[in-house]
Amino acid sequence: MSSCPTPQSPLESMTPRIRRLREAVMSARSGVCPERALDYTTYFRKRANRRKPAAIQMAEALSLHLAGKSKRIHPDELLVGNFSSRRVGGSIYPELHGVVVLGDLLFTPWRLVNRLELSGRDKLRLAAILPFWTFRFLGIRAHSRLRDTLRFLAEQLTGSWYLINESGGVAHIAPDYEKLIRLGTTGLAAEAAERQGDFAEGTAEWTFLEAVRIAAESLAAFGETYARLAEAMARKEGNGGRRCELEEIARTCRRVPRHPARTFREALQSLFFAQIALNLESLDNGISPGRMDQYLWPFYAADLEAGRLTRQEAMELVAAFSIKMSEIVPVFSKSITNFHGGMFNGQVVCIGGTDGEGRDATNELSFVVLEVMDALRMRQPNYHARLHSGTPPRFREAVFAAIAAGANSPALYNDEVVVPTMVANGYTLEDARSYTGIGCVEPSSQGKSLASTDAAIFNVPIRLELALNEGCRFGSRRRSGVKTPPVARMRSMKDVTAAFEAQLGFGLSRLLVDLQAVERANARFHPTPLTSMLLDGCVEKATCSTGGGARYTFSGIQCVGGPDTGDALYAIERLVFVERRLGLPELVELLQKGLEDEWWRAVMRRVPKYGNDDAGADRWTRWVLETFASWWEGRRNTRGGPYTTGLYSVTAHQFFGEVTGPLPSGRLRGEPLASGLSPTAAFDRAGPTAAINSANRIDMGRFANGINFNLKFDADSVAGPVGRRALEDLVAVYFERGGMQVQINVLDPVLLRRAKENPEAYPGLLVRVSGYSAYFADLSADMQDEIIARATYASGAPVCKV
Amino acid sequence: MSSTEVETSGKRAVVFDIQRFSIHDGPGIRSTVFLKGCSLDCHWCHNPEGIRAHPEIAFYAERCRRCFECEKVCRLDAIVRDPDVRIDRERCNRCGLCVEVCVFGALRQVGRFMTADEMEAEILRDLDFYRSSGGGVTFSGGEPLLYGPFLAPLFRNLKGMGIHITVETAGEFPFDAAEPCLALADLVLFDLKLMDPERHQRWTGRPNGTILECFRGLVASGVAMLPRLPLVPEVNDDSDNLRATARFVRENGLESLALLPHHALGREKRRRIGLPIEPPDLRPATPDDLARAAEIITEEAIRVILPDAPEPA
Repeated sequence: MSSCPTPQSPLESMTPRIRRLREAVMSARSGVCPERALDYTTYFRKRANRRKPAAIQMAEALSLHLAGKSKRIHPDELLVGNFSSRRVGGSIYPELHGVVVLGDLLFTPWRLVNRLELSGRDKLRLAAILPFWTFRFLGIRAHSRLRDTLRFLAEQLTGSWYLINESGGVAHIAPDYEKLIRLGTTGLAAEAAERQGDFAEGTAEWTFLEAVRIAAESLAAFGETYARLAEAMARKEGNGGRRCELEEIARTCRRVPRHPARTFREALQSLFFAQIALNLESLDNGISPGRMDQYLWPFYAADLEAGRLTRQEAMELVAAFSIKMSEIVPVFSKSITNFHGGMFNGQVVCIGGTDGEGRDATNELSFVVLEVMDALRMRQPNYHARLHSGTPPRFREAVFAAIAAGANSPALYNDEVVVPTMVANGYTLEDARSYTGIGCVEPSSQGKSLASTDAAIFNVPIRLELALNEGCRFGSRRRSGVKTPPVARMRSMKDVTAAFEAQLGFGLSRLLVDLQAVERANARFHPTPLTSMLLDGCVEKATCSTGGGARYTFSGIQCVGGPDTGDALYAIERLVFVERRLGLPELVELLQKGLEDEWWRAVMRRVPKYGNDDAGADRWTRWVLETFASWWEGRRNTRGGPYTTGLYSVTAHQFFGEVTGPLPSGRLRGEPLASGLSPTAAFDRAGPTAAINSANRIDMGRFANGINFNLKFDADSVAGPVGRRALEDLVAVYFERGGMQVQINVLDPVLLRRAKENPEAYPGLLVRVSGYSAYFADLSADMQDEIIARATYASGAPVCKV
Repeated sequence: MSSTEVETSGKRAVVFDIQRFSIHDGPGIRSTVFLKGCSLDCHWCHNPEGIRAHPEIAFYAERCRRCFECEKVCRLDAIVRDPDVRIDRERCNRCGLCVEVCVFGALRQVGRFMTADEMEAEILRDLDFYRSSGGGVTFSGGEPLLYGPFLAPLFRNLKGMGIHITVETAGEFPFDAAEPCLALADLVLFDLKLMDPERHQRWTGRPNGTILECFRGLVASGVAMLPRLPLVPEVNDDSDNLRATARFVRENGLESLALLPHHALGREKRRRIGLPIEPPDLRPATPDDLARAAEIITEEAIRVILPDAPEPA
C-alpha cells in the first residue's frame, strides 16, 4: 500500500537560531530608510563638494553615508551588517530616480502595493530635501534640450511605450567577490594605487583611481565600525554564550573586508559588507553574489579539512547570509512598482554549472545552498541552478525534488545554450563558462561584465496598435508613432508587417536616443567607483564601468509582449487574408470599439495561439521576436558594447497590458500580456509538452540578455517521485532542443485563492514572477489574479475509464 | 449500445480526446488517446462520452451566449431554446453545422474520425518526451479494443519507434480481432467491476462472461497485465465482491489489483451529451472506502495499488 507520509517541513532542519532570525525578518514591517537620502543631500549641499569631479563626489558621498549610517547587530546574528536603519528597509537615491520616488512617498497617502512604512518625522525630513534635488536628479540632467527633457520625463512617468530603468542607475552586476575575499580592500586599493602612478594627478584616469581608493577605504572602515559595535555590545552582554559570539563577530569584522579572508565565515562576512555598500552606491537592483558555491568552496573545504567547521555550521552561516538578503527592499515609485512588483532586488545566487574548462563544478556547497533555499523559502536571494550534460544526477534530482515539493526555486539554466550564446556575443569561452545569472534571468560573467541588463523595457504590441491606425492610438487623433498607410490600403500581410516594422523602428529609435542620453548622464554624473573596483578591467583601463571600463559591457533591452503581437498578426492573417471573414478596416473598427462585440471576440480568440504547439501561430511569434532582435544587431551603446535583447518582463507584461488597446488576437484592453517567452496565460490550453514544443521553435540564441519561460503546475499533478521525474524529463527535452531557461511554479490554486482572500494568513507564500520569487501577498490584486488564472496543467487525476 | 456500431473497416477510428502530458497513467510522460464506443453502459461511467461509437454533440450551457447562430444553420429544426438543453436529439442528425458556427464553444463536437496516419502524427508530437521519460501512449476509451484491426498497424509503427503502449480495457471485446494488437501492447490495464453476473448485468448493462473469458485469454497470451477495480461505494465495495475479485485475480496467477476511486463527474458529462441519467446518485469513494477495501483485498493475499494522489472529493 502506498501512502504519503506528511513531509517534515524543511524549515525544521534549520537550527533554532536560524528559525528565530527568519521569523524576525519575515515578521518585520518593511519601510523606508531616509538615511542615504539625507547623507547624500548633506554632501551635495556643500558647494565645495559640488565643484569636485563626479567620481570623487560619488566615492565621498558613499563614504560619508557608510560611516554615518546607523549600525545594528540584532540578537542571534552571526553575520552582521544592515542595509538600512530598519530590520527590513530600502533606501532612496535622490540623485537618481529619487525625486519621483520622493514625490510619490510624500504625496500619495498610502500605496496600494508594496506598502512601505514611513514615519511622519522621516516624511518631513525627506520633504525638506525634495526642492534641492528637483533640478539635480539624473533624469532631468540627461537631455540637453528642455523639450526633450520634458517629453522624456512625461513618458517615463506614464510608461506606455517603454521604460528606461537605467535612469535609476546601472547596477546589475555579479561583483568579483572572489577577488575581494582573496585580496581584501587593501589589495584592491593597492592595485588602484599602482595604476594611478601611470597618470598625472588631476587627469580623469588619476581621479577615477583616486575615487576607487576612497571607496575601498570606506568599505574597509564600514566593516570596522561593526567590530567596534560588537566589542561594545560584548562588554555589556550578560549572557556568556552570546558574549563569545559577539567577540567572534568583532574579530571577524576587524579582519574583513580590509584584509584577505582566511575562513568560510570571514569570506561570507567580507562579501556581505560589499553587498550592502554596492546596493547603496547606485541602483539597489541586480547586485548578485552569483556563484557562491564556487568562490566560497576553497574556504569551505579548507575549514572542514582543518576541523574548524562542520557541514551543519556552514549551513547555518549560509542560512544567516540568505536571511540577510531579505532585509533589503527596493523603494520604487508607484509607477515603477507597476513594472517591478513584489519587492525584489534581483540578488541572484547561482549554483552548479561548470568551471572555465567546462568540467562540472557542482560541489557539496551547491547542495548546502540548495538545502538552505528549500528550508527558508524566502523572497531573496533569487536562486538559479545551472544544468549541463555533465551535471551529477544526484544534484539534478535534488534540484527537481525541491521544485516539485513547491519551493518554486531555483530557476533552471541550460549551459549548453547559454555558453554558446555568450561566446557569440563576444565572451571568451572560459568567461562564458563561468557565467551566473543576475537580476532576473540575465546571463553575465562573474566579476567581468557591466551588462546593464535591465537598461530598458519595451512594449511591442502597442506598436501594432499604431500600425493599424496610421500611427495613432485607438481613439486618439494625436499621432504618437510614424505615419503609416491606412488599413483600407493594406492588401496583404506584407503591408501589415511593413507598417508594424515602421512603427517598431520608430519607437525603438526614440528609445535609443533617450537611453543613450541616460547612459552618458550616468557616466558623467554618477560614476560608480566601488562597483568598478569589483569589475575586471576598470582599474586596468583606469575607466569607470559607467564609461566602459569593464572587461565586457552591454545594454539589455527587454522585448515585452512578443507572443501577443505574434498571435495578433496570425489572427489578422487567418481572419482577413486566408478565411476572408472580414476586412481589415472592419476588424480595426471592432478594435476601436474596444472589442465589445463578443461574437467577433470569440472568433478572434479561436484562432490558434502561440504556446499550443501550432506551427502557424508560433511562426508569427518567432518573426516578431527576431524582428525586434535584428533591429538591435550592430548597434552599440555609448560605453562601446552591443545592445542585446531579453525576453523577460518582470511584471511589465501586466502594466503594458493595462495600457495597450485590444488586439486582433481577441485580447481585450487591460488583459495582461505574455510573460517573457511563456504563452499568454489566457490562451495556454494544450499543456506543458505543447508549450515546450512551441517555445523550442524560437531560436533562443538570439536573446543574449536572457529569456524567461514559465511552466506552472498545480501541486497535485506533480506530487511525489512520479511528479519529480516528469518535471525532470520535461526540462531535459526542452533543454536538449535549445531551451535556455525555465522556471517552474508548483502552485495549489485553492491555496492561492485563499491567500488572495486573506493575505495576512499566508505571508510566506512564494510564487515566481517572471524570473524572481515574490511573496504572493505583496503582488497587486491583478497579478494575484493572473497567477491564479494561469493554466495549471491538470493531470493529477488518474484517467479512470470504467 | 453494441459494439457493432464501431466502424470495423479498420481504416478510421472515432477519437474523443488526446490528452497530452498524462503522467499518472502508465510509465513516464504519456499521451492518452480516448477512442469512442463501448459495449458496456456502466451506471457510474467516468467517461460517458466514450460510450456511443459515433461522433456526437455536447452542449455546455454555461458557455452559451444565446446568439442562436446555431438555429440559423440547422436544417432539421433541431435547436431548442431551453436554458439547459439546446439540441432536440430526436431530430438531430449530428451534421455538426451548429458546432462550426458556435464561436463560444458551447456546442462542441465530441469525437472525430481519424485515420491511423493522422492519429500517429498527433501522437508523435510528443515523441521526444516519451523517449526521454520512457513513456508512451495509453489507449483508453470507450473500449479501445473494439478497434483491433485499426490499432494493430498503428501499434506496429509505434513499437518500431520504441514507444511504450498501454491499453486500458473494460474487458468486453472480440478477442480474436484484438489479439494482433494486444500482442504488441506493453501493458494492459484490465477493469473488473463485479464478479456476480447478475449484478454485473444490473450495473453495466451486460453480463460478465465475455469479460472474464477475455481476461483468461489475455493471461494465457502472456501480455503484462494489471487488473483494476473501480471502487464504487454500495455497488461493488462489499466484502463478497472484493474477495471474489481478489480470488479471481489470484486464480489467474496475478498478484496485484489496482483500486480506482469512483468520482461523480461523469454525470455532468452525461447531461451535456443528452444521455439519460438514472438513479441512484452514487457517492464518490473516500480515502476511507479505499483503505477498507484495500484491507479486505490484502487479506486475500493480493497486493493493492492505490492511486498516487487522492481524488478531490
